[in-house]
Amino acid sequence: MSVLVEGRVAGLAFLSLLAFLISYYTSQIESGVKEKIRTIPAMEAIDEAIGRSVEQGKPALITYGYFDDINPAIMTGLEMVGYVAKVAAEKGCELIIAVGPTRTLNIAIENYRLGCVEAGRPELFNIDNVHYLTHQQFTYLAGMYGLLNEYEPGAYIGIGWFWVDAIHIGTQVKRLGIFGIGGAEKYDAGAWFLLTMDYSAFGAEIYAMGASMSKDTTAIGGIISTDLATCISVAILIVGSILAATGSNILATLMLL
Amino acid sequence: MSLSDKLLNIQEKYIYIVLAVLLIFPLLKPLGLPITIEDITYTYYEGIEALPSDTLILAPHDASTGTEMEIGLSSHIVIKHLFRKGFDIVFCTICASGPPIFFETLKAEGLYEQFMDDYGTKYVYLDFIAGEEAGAASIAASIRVATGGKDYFGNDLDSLPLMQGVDSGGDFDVVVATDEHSLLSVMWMNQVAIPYDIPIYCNPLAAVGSTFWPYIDAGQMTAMLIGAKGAAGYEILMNDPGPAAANMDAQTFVHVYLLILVLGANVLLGIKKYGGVE
Amino acid sequence: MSVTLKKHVPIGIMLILTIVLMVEYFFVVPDSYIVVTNEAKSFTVVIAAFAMALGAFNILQMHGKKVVEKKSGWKYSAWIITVMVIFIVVGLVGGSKSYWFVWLWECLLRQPDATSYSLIGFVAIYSIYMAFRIDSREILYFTCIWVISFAANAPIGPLVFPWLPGVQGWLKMVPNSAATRGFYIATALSAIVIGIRTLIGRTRAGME
Repeated sequence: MSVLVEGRVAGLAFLSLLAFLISYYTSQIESGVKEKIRTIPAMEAIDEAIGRSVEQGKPALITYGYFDDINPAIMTGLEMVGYVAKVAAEKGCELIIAVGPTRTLNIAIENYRLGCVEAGRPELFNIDNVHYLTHQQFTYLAGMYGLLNEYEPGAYIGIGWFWVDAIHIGTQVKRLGIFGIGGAEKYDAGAWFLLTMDYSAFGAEIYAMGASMSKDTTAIGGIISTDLATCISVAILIVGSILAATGSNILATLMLL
Repeated sequence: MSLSDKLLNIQEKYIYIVLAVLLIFPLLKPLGLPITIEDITYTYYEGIEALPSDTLILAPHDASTGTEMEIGLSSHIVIKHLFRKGFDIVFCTICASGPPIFFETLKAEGLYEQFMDDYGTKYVYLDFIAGEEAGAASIAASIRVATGGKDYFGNDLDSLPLMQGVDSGGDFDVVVATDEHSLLSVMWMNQVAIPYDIPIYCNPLAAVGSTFWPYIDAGQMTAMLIGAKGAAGYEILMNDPGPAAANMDAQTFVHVYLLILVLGANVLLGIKKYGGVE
Repeated sequence: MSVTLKKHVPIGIMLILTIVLMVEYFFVVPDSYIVVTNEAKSFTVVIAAFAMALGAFNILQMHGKKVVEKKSGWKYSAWIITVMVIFIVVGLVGGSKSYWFVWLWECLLRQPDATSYSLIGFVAIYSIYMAFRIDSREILYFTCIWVISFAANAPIGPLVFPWLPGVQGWLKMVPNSAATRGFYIATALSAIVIGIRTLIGRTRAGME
């Protein structure tokens, strides 16, 4: 009698492999082994963006999208709020935060406050700088238009869950001459940021940004594991394609176990 | 400022005025421009037509106020088709604005009386289940647990003839996502169609349709009606041209207008850069 | 509140529930186990409903403060609170299926939402006009593919250029599908890692 559900054995094996890789690389990093992660240009540009805002005497604006769900992209965006708040507070830059999702409003406020505290500038925390815009996509977009035109920030940082609104925000940022950094999980939104922003990141790059920002050993171990797992997936695809072309379906059978 | 600079940096109000005229004119005076039907629309229509009359359909109707203007066109005609074929249908939604839009759709298509007359024997409405994908997962696992054993009207599900022996996603033959807000049909695909290996039909926004092609290619999604054009094609296949087909003239005009704008802007840029002409 | 209650207990609950649900997904389990997991899945429905209420409370807290302190834009905040209270009262008194609740929803939510969605269409036209200016290779590729897809999507496009649907079809099924699949795989793997990080409490989002 089978213990495992048919068709899910390969999935379980892959998940176990991923969990093993994460724990292995995390323990390696914790024991002092230095692992190098490619720098994401969009991540490096955050310092530059905040610096520009300080020079121009303008605030910086950050947002993480509008989707009202706690998904990985929104969580990365929330982490980014804390990080950017810390960088902005260190440089004495005012930060405007545009919040779309209702459920994460308190988390965004808390991350903003903690960022200021970690920078040693708790007095820079200003609840009036947090603008709630709703999670309805185009109402959020209308609100973003309003904030961009009202504040004309020196820098726009948008990392999180965006979609069709990405091109509209991007165009407005470009039109107003704002230094823009955009990152979206969805590849079409990332492509629109690529068209319109000074720096962009899309897909898994935003998670790599989150990891390199947090400097957490598990996060970095996770990035290395993800890359390895992606390589394994690509290898399976290539081998599978070759085998399928030669008429063998052994790999397909294995994957469907 | 030269003419080309003025055109390249034209104020948006002039673009909007022309756009408004191009939208309003064909709606007031339809030109009857030809409409092409995509292959995937044929696949959708023929798939529904081929289903046996005793098919039990799970029909999530995840309507949203914002996207209803586009998706409502296809949801109206699909629901009409499903009713016309006489299938047994269990409707539900994981979108909070789903219920009022659903009943409005039925009334607009003159199906509300039929729905209420055959309620319980041919049609059931499960009401809104919170949690989006979690809601879909809950429905797929156990409808009675997800809904608390009651339907939208407060009836006990066990008292409804259609719901006898129907409790999980595997008890359905087909999923027809009759309305689609954002990516909710992907959630139904993940939670019901793929685990229980049943076909799923959906009608995404035109902006979303391109991201669903890998699912169609892999066979995970059977067919889709993409945006208003898909709805118009479906209306023609149903021999029931309606609002979607009527909108196609305006859609044609806007498509041509935007192509002229973008290509014209790039031609001007090219002339400025390489032609040395102001 | 102690760190144990604030951090470790929620993580513990998350971990246990995740393992319970994953065991049901991958292993053949008895029916009694499935009853437990079905209940667990229905918990998420309840929690999602509570999260909506939490959102309403957040709005009340944020905008209420603005009204009390008469900060800039307080009148808009007062309007938001007024509309929210009207919806809550009418919904509680008559139910969400009552005539007045549906009427309010139609007038105050549906029509403005549909209008704002439609108006953005105008903005989209202008955004695309300004964005698709060929000044780099990437934008050149974007524009070429966009022109083909957009023309093919126009209702009469395939009639004027009969080869368009074939080219668009190839673009959709080959490079688009390939790129999309690559993204889905990479994003899904990253999402799993974020999930694991959340389960062991190594993320800032919501843990503080």
